[in-house]
Amino acid sequence: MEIQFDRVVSSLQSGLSYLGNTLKISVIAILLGTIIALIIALVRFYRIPVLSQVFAFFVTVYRGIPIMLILLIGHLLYVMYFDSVARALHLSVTIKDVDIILLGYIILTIGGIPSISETFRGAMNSIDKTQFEACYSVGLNTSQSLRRIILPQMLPVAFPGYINNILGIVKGIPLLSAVGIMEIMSGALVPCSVSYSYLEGYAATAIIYFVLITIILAASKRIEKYLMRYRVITNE
Amino acid sequence: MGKYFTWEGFFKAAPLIIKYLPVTLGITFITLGIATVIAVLVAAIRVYKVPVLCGICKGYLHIIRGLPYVVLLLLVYYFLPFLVFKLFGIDINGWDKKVFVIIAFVIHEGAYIGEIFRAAVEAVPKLQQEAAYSVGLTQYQAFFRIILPQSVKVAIPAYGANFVELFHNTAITYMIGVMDFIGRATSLGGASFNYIETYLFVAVVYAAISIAIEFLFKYVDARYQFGAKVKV
Repeated sequence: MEIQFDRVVSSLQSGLSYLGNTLKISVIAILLGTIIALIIALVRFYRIPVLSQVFAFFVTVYRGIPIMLILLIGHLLYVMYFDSVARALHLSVTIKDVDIILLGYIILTIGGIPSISETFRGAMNSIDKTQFEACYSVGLNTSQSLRRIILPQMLPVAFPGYINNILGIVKGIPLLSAVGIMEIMSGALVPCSVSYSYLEGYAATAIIYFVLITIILAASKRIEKYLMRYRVITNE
Repeated sequence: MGKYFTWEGFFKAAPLIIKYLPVTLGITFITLGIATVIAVLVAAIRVYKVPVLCGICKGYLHIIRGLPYVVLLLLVYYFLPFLVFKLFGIDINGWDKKVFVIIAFVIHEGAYIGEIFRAAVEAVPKLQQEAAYSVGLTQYQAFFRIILPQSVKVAIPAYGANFVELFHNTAITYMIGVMDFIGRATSLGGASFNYIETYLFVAVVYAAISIAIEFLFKYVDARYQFGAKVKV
C-alpha cells in the first residue's frame, strides 16, 4: 500500500472537471430551496388557514428523514414513474433522454427546504411584535412592511443558521454519487478504477471539498460582518 | 420491477427490518458517549488556551468542518488501514466495517460537539470561575465541578439538534455497505422487489425517532429553565 502523488493529481484534475456540475446543483438547490422555504415560513408565520397546517405537518415529517433516505426513495420513484408521468403530461421524453442530474436538483431542493424554512421561521419569531405594529401604524400594507422592515431585520438573525443549511446542502452532494450523478466525488474516482487504488481518489475528493467549503465559510464570515454592522452588541 | 405499494408487503417487511434498528442506535449512542468526552476536553483546551494543543484543536476543528461527513467516512475507511499498516505493521482491512464507521463518527462529532461545549462554557459567567478560585479550588476542580455542570444547561438545545443530525448521518453508512437499518431495508427490498414498502417503513421510523428526540430535548430544556425564561 503506497500513496502515489501523480495519481492524486490525476484524480484532482478529473474531480475538478465536474466542479461545474456540482456548482450547478448547489446553486439551483440553494436558490429554489430558499425561495420556497421563505414562502413556507411566511405562510406559517402569518398562520394562513389551511396551508400553514399542511406545511407544518410536511416540514415536521421531512425534517425527520435523512437526505440519504430521501435520495434513495426519490431515485426509486423517479425510475419507476418517470415514464408514466411523462406520458400523462403528453411529453415525448423518456427517462433515457433526461440527464439524471435533474433528480439531483429535485432531491437536494426537497432536502434543503425543511431546515431552511425552520431557520427563517425562528428568525421571524425573534423580531419584536412592536415592529409590526409600527408598520401598520404608519400605514404600510403587509407586502411593503415585509419588504422594507421585517425581512431586512430577519436577515442578520437568520444568517448563521442559513449558512449552516447551505453547507448542509453542499455536504449532501457527495451522496448523489450513489445514484450515478456525476459530481466531484464520482469524477475523482474515475481514474481509480483503472489503477485499482481508491486511496488517492478519496484524498483528492477531500481536498477539493475542503477548499470549496472553506471558501464558502470565509465568504460567509465577511457577509455576516457586513450584516451585523448596525447591531449593537451588549456585554452583560 | 414496478409493483405498486401494498400494505401487506409493508407489514410483512417491518418486523424483519426493525431487527437492525439496534445496530443504528448502537452506533449513535456509542459515538455520542466517546465523542462527548473528547468534545469536553477539546472545549476545555480551547477555552483555557493551552499552548500547543489549542492550535492543534483549532486545526482539527477547521478541517472537520470543511469536509462532508461522507467524504470523511470514506477517507477513514480507506486511509486508516494504510496508516495503521505504515505505523504499526498491522493489517486492519479485515475489521468489521462498524468500527470504521464509529471512528469516523467520533472524529466528526468530536469537532461539532466540541464547538457546542466551547460556546456553552464561554456562556457561563466569569464570576463563577473567580468565585471558585477564591474558595481555593484548583483550575481542574473549578472546571469540572463548577463550570462544566453549568455549561450543560446552556448546551442542551444545540446538543439535541446535533443528536438528531448524527442520527440522520447514520443513514449515510449505507454507502460503504454496513448492514444497518437502511442496509437491511435495501437488501430486503432487493430480495422481494418491494423497495417502496421497505424504504417507507425506514422513513417512518426515522421520522418518528427524530421527532421523539427533538421533543425529549425540548422538554428537558424547558424543565431546566426553572422559570428563568419568560415566553413572549
